[in-house]
Amino acid sequence: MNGKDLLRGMSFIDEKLIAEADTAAPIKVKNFFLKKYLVAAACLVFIAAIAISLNKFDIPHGFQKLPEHTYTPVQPPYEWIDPNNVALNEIKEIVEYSVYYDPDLYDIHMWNADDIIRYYGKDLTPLYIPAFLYPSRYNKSTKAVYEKNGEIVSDSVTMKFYTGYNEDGSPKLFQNSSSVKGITVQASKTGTIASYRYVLSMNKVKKTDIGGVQVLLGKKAPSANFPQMYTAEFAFCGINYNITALQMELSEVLKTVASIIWSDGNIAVTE
Amino acid sequence: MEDCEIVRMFWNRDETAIAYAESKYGTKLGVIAMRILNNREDAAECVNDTMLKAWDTIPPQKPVYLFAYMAKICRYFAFGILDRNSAQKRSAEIIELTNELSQCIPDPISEIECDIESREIGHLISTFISGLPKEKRIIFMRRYWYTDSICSISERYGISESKVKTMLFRIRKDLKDFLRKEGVVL
Repeated sequence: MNGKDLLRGMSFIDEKLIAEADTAAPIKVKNFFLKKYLVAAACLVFIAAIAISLNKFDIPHGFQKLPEHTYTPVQPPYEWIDPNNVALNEIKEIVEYSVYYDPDLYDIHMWNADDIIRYYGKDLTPLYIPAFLYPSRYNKSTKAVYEKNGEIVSDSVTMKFYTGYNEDGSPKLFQNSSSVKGITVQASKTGTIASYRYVLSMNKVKKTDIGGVQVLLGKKAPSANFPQMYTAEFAFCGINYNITALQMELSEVLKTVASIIWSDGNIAVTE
Repeated sequence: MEDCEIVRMFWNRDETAIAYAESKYGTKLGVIAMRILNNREDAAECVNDTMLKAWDTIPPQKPVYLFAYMAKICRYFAFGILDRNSAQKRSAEIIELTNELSQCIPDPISEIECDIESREIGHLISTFISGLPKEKRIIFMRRYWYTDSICSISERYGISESKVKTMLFRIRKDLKDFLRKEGVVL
């Protein structure tokens, strides 16, 4: 008997064990702070339960409801961001950027939510989503591009959180404004994320430290044809993130970024 | 479509069951085969064979976990194709996994015909794994069943690569002791 026999013998393992390893949620690493926050977490659950029972949140018909904890009032916040340490870079220009993959050279496969979690090792949905933004029904799938030898060349996942959506899935214009309001989060391991490139003022590009991660924040002032926009680019745990926020407060963008880095939805920006 | 519905279609000999199963699990099965075979065409062949085998075996089988059932078939076929191919074609990952599991063999005398069939080994390993804590069980399965890389496991579960390696090392050592106690003799 050799190692290969054992590896082959694994093929006959109980299906229950195979299914368990396929669907198991990421294991939370036990940490020092767990007990400390247990009581606070219980309080939040209690508050959330009351909020749900009061049907406090008005979700438009047809939209997927986010987990209730993302709407839970943050009392008290666990993680803090000091706005004095936030560096914004002015966006000078937006350049559309797209790559065409020739079907003769590449294969395109549709990934569902399970495939995405399996590939990235976690659910990419930020734990903090600003109130009154709702996830697109297309957030749970993406098209992955493979080379003919099976190597993945494009793994970009795009998740949209906007105030509402049209029949075709595109975000609706916000109230009386001429633009949409919400956040788009893109993630990729291979780095082929962007559909747009943001040209910053190159002389003074400054990054902001959030939880030890260097985040490149961009800002575009509103104009007659374009709403106020914030962008955030950073790499965390081998995943490149690109966040675009339209008509959103900076604090909401920071909380969304921090919730990805800290894996915590309870974020506050200090006054 | 729910798994039970697809299984019901298999039982009713509705051929669209294959299309539904392939649509739902074809990519996942392809990934499993691809990791073992490192060859896209072979992996595609493996997935096709899996679909046909599922058609031939359901009924009489009525799997509770359809993906696990098909993945077992797919993995089995993949190793069959691996045998057919030359050793040079084997992926580095499979060679590494083979070397790691060689450490679990009580008396590692190579090239000696084994009395224990793969199926029996599977049952023994199932018994061993079932007794592990959930965290260890899942990490062992991700490594040696799904052939995930150490890095991938580390990222998936948010633990360091060194911790994954240490955990796997200890599990292999325990498995070796377990096999010895179970009388696995060469």
